[in-house]
Amino acid sequence: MQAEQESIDTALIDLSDQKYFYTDQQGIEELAGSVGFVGLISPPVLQAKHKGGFRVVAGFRRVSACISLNLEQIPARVITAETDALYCFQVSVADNAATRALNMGEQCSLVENLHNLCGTKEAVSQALEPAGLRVPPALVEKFIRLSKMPDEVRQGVSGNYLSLNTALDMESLSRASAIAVAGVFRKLRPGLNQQREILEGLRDLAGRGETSIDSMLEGPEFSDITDSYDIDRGRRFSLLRSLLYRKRYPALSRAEDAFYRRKKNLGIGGDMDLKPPAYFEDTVYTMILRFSSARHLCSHAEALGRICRHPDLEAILKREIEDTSDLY
Amino acid sequence: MTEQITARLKVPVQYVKDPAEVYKTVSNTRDPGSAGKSVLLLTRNKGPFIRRCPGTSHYTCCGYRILHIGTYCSMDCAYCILQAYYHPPVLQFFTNHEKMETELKAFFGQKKTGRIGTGEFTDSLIWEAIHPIAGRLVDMFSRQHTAVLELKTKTVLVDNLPRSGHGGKTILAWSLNTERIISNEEHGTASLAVRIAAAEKCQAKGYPLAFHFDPMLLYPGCKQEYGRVADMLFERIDPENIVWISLGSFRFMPELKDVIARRFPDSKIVFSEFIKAMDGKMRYFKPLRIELYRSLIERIREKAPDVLLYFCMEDDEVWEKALGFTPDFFGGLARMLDKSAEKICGLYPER
Repeated sequence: MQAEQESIDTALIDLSDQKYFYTDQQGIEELAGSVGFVGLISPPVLQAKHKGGFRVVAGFRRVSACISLNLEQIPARVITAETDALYCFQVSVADNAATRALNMGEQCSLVENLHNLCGTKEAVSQALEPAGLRVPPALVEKFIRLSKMPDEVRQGVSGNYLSLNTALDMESLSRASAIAVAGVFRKLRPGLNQQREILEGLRDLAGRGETSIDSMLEGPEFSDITDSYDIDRGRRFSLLRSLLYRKRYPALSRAEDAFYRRKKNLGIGGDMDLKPPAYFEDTVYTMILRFSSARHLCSHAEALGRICRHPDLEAILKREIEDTSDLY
Repeated sequence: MTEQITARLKVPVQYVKDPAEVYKTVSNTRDPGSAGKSVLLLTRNKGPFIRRCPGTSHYTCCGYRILHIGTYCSMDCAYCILQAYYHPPVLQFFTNHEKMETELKAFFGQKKTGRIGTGEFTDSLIWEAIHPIAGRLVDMFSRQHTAVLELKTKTVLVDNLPRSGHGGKTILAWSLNTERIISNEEHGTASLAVRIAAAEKCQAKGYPLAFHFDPMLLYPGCKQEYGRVADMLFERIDPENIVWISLGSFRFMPELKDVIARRFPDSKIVFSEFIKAMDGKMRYFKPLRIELYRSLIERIREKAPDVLLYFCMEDDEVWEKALGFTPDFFGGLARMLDKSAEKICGLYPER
């Protein structure tokens, strides 16, 4: 890198010029504490501007920390105003790569900037590799798609509570719905499979055309769950999942409720279990008996005799249809 | 035949060495489901013309045979399984009819009742506009007495069918659905009233008839609307002329959901209460299917108590709860359908 280390007047650094800005600006206070204690170990990289002054190429947080300490002059490596923008980005990436890994949101902003410069995803990928950041063209494409999504979604990806693939799956949603879903993920922090489950459930419900996803999530039925901060996150997720399931599968939910009610009446529990066929599609039920001795098995036999004569077992096996006339 | 068809169509023609070139071109488009309808591939059927219906596991199938004259369809039903069944789906018409006729002659020689149709992998009558084939098939079937041909359609292209001499060995069949579903989901198909009018025309020519309420779709008000379809049907059609009526609810391979959502963004049909059934296909939760069938069966039975009703790909529980019996009671579904065909179409296979 062709850069001279100089002492630069902080008043001449234009922090509002964000041509090369793509990183998160968190932890400036902590960094300021460290700079105040040991000084600036790694000088930022600045570019001279044609009309005077400097813009930051690498080290926005360091410059901000120094300014917050009221330092009038700081050491910096300065590159010329004529330096190619792509090269400046590569310097910035290399500078960051030496200290920490860029998060998804930062990579997304970086790729968006570079794509404007390079034009193709392959060129972006090739530009990043020598700077120490490997982003295959397919991932570049994903970041470009993400860059067109609402800030709330991008923040979800940066904040690691929304996976990149789930975010991209939200492309087909309206802007308001995408923001609403990102909001739910921010509140509940579900895992990847849980994100997919929620998104699919909401999409299916909205697909019926009765209401939009954002209206649904803003309604009291959902928001009472997602916004109940006195309930822990895991429990809120379970409640949301249950609500979605019941709304998506109203007839199946009723059948399940009836089955478990009757099963309870049969007195099955502990080391005995009765399982229904998947979704009640098949007609074969499974009885599980766990036993440790012949006597134990005999006690099961007695219980089975009682269960076989129970009217609720007959009702279960008759598979009487719950009334669904209100549904269709 | 290829020259005749291309001359008739007056569209740009391109000769390809290998059908794979066409498949590749269609596959590489953003929407193969639509692209496959914009190309007509005239080619030889390198496999058998007569095939077993693929059917499905765990559910009762009817032992149907398919006469494989072509694939895909020029109409565009949102629920069409062919969109996901073929990779890619391409409108193709097989031109080596001498091979087809050889296979049919062997089929006629079987000493058992045969039921075969052209309407599984395509619509039976869309091809009449480019190369009338139905008339030739009707004629072939009229000269034997062991098998029936079923021409299943959503069109009304029946004017070219022979007025007489068919011997009752060709069944004209229509897929029926509610006017709402036809209008919203069965794009480019004939309306319900027009389909029934075409069936009435065929009835007047003495053709046996069949009807398929398949796929039935669940939506608020569907039971009343399917009932009205049955009413419309029996206002014009004599149940005595009906060989069979099938009922089947919407079922699909899971991968079809994304295809429908992408190709038909206004369609709501994939968002109902589907469960993954025993054969891996998505089906409505069983009690919902049974309720839907029961209501339509009740309505049909009011007008046509003796007509043969059957389910396409349902299990014994559905049969028992919706129809009151299982096919085993009558010797199995295939036998039930064979007997109806023998009676109404005048088959007398040598056993």
